[in-house]
Amino acid sequence: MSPILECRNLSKSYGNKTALSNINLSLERGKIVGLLGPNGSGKTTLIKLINQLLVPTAGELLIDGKPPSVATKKIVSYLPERTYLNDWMNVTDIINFFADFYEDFDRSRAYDMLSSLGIEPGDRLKTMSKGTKEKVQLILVMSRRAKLYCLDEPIAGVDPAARDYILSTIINNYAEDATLFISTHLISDVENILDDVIFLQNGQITLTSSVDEIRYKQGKSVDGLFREVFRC
Amino acid sequence: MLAKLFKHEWKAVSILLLLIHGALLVFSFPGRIIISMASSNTGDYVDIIFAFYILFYVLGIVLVAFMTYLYLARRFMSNLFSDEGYLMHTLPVTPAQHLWSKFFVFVIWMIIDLIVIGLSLIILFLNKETLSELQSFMVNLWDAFITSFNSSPVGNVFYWMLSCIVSVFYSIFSIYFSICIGSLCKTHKVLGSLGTFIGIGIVTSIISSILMMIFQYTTTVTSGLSTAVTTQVMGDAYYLVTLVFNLLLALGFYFGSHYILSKKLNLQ
Amino acid sequence: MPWTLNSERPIYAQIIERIQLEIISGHYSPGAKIPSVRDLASEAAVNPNTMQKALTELEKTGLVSSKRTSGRYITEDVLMIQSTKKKIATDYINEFLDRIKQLGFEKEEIVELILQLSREDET
Repeated sequence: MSPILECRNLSKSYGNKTALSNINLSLERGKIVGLLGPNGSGKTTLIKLINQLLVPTAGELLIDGKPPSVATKKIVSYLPERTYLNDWMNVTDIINFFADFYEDFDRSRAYDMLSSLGIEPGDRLKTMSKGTKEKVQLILVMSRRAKLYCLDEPIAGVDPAARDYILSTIINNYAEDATLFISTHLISDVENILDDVIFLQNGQITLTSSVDEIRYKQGKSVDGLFREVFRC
Repeated sequence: MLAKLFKHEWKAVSILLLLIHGALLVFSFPGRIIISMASSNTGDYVDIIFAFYILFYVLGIVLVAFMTYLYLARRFMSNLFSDEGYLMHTLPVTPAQHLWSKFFVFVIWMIIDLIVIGLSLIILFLNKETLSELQSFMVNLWDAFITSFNSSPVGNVFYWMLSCIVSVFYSIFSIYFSICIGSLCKTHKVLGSLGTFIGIGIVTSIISSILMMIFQYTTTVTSGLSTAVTTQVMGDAYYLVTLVFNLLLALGFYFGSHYILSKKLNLQ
Repeated sequence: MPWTLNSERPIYAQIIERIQLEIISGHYSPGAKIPSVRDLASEAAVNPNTMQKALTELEKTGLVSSKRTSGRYITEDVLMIQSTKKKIATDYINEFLDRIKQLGFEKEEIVELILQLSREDET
């Protein structure tokens, strides 16, 4: 099967500031891949490029063999760092919204996950705490039967109990043979679910490896290796 | 997709707009009573109420229209350029669909706004006596339309219709374009948008004045009086040139907005 | 509850060990059906791919077998389970012996200490 994501010499700069330079990577289908790097390393830039929230300065980016476009947006499910839900809506409104625009949205799955959190269809987003809104957003994103899920810092700024919930929601709900692309700087919490990792530093890839290889060959956790590689 | 965007956009903005326009209509009813009271009675007490009412009423109309435009402009900015933009721009829709869905909602509300103001005026003023005055006013208005230039009445009507349509595109897309340009500023995006909007206004006024100077000529018009009066009149070409100019600008604003949304998007 | 897993060793190896323990201890009876890959992965809070890898390895050892459409089953071969139990126990004991020798005990001393402790345990 062809890779779900391919980047060839991908670069992005703003004026004279380079966010990403010469990124070459290839993501296989069905894998859970971690994009790891310190803050400011270019992780969010890469994810925005995949979602066409930015356009490349050079190089190319292909999703399922196609450049970013309306067609790729149909198969990519994106969870940004921010909450993007509009306060005036209630839960039913936002579910209808997703169902309206995304053919691959699984309503019943979304309602099941929400009710297991005690969230009712009539609940207004305005009355929810930040943490609850983040969970609602996660549920909406994971209810899509997409081919590529891009999750930007899904557990940053979240308490440990919620982290477990978020990680198990992610593992239990992604579509069969879909690829999960998770960007984070909180490595120890996430590494047990990753197949492969990509280390990003100053806009460049410094390491691509499977997690097992790191543990087997180097006898350390990914978190341990990360601390070595990115020592200040 | 366009229909879905339109539906969603409509649902998001219409509640507030319906409220303020409804309020304006409701506010007109007491006005009718006050006006009939004022015309039949004289007395400081009634006149004061009448004066205050007219003041608030006029303010009300201006405020409702202004709020409608401001609200829809702000909606454009927050829906596409704030955190909500992360949701909107990752939907499987094109930037053109975003622009047009919002445009159509804006146009419809512009029209509703006009209709509501008209209805409100009718509620205030229309009765058996004023009806005849209204009719003669309409006739004069119509005459003015069809004799604006020297060519045929049909040409005039056609011109004014086209002019209206172009002006609607022009005004809405100039707002959207200003907001898009504002989004490119690193800081003070709102100021950037306002600045662009005002800047556009200033530049187009200047160009408009220049065009007027180029195309006007003096003629002498003999009225019923014995003395001949010389006036400045606009040549036919002026009207055509202004129309084309506005059309080009409107197109420029649309394509400029589209370009910024597609290639220069940078959400924070 | 997520399984306690060490981040410094490959997860699939740790999963294999844990499932072996569950088979030996009787938590999974011989011939019993085990949950699907996704369910097990969810319970363990690991990547389904990793769970799949572990189960495939277990199939190779024969402790687990998969029947095409109905899922995975523990082996009914009780002897194999017993021999695996013995092997793991042997590994534990050898590990223990290595460590205790570092303390400087002789073999007889070790045996005497073990007997003494198990007598105390019974009372």
